[in-house]
Amino acid sequence: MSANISIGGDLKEELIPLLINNLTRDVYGKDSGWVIEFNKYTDDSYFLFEDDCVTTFDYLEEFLKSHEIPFSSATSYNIETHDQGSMRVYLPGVMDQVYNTTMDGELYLYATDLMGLKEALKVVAFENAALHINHRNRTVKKYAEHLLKGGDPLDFVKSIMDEDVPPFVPPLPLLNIIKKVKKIKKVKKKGK
Amino acid sequence: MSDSIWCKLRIGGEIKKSLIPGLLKNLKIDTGDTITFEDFTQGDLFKLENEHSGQFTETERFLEKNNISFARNSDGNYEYLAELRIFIPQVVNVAFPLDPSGDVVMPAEKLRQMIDSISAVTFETAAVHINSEKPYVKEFALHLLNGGDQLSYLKVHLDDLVPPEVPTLPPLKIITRSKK
Repeated sequence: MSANISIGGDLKEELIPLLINNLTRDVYGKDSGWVIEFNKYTDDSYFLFEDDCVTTFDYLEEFLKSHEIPFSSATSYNIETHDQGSMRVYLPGVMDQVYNTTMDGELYLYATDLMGLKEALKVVAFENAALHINHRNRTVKKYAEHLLKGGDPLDFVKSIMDEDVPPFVPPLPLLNIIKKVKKIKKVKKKGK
Repeated sequence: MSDSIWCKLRIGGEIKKSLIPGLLKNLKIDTGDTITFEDFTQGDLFKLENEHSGQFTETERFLEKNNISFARNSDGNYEYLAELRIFIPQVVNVAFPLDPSGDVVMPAEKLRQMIDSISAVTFETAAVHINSEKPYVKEFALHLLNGGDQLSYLKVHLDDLVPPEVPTLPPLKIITRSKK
């Protein structure tokens, strides 16, 4: 059991203390007195934090999302609950996707609807669609209804696949810490 | 599979009474226990659980060799997903990976590559993609150039990549040899 989180993208420097507060809360609990050093876990590319005792970074992820800061987090297999691993990728305005992963990081998906789709394409055609509108498998039934309404088979197949098959994992943008620039007031000299 | 993984064996379909001693012998090899066939026959199936082995290696081999239907569930661990193996002679011999709640899962990557190839290539652009480094893009481009369509391409790959529906094990039936 372990979890890790990578933070990238634009990060305002003034948000770092709050980020660390939320991370500390996830790792040690509230008011623990422990402090996690931001710089210790930051390299040229990302802020990377990993812990063997943590399963999720709920507070930190909520904080990052509320400030539209990109991150990807991953949880490994939980030996006590038998939960498989998962990975979450948040890219503001682009995606907030949870992937199921095996121990070696391979992505997997639930096959039930796709198994139904495979069956639907085998047994249902325009000519016999009416016979399948009460089929026990909901995907077969939906496909038969779609054809009876004059729908295009390809549109149906694509919609099921887009719904069930997660997109490729995109790379996280590199971390860019934005420092507040102090405005310098120009003082006009008298007489000019 | 490594040790200390729960597994369950269910046997159904037709089984000759004369094969039962051989079955029990193999079960003893797999579990270390002496098993009475009747004690584990509940309802329509023979059902046996084991806490350690992860699978019933010898018994499964014996059942397959003698064309006896069975299903074996195994828990997952830090290395493997949970699994359901079903063998029904002349119908199915498949191991389905499962998530912890028992739903069938499958690897996502090849399917995603296939879907993306369909978005990337059209009849008009197919010729441009026939030397693509992405295998599915190249394959789909060639498929279109050979007069194929999107739906037939999807059907072929769904057949290939998506597991079949999980079949139900037939009820157990002991066949006794009748005396002439």
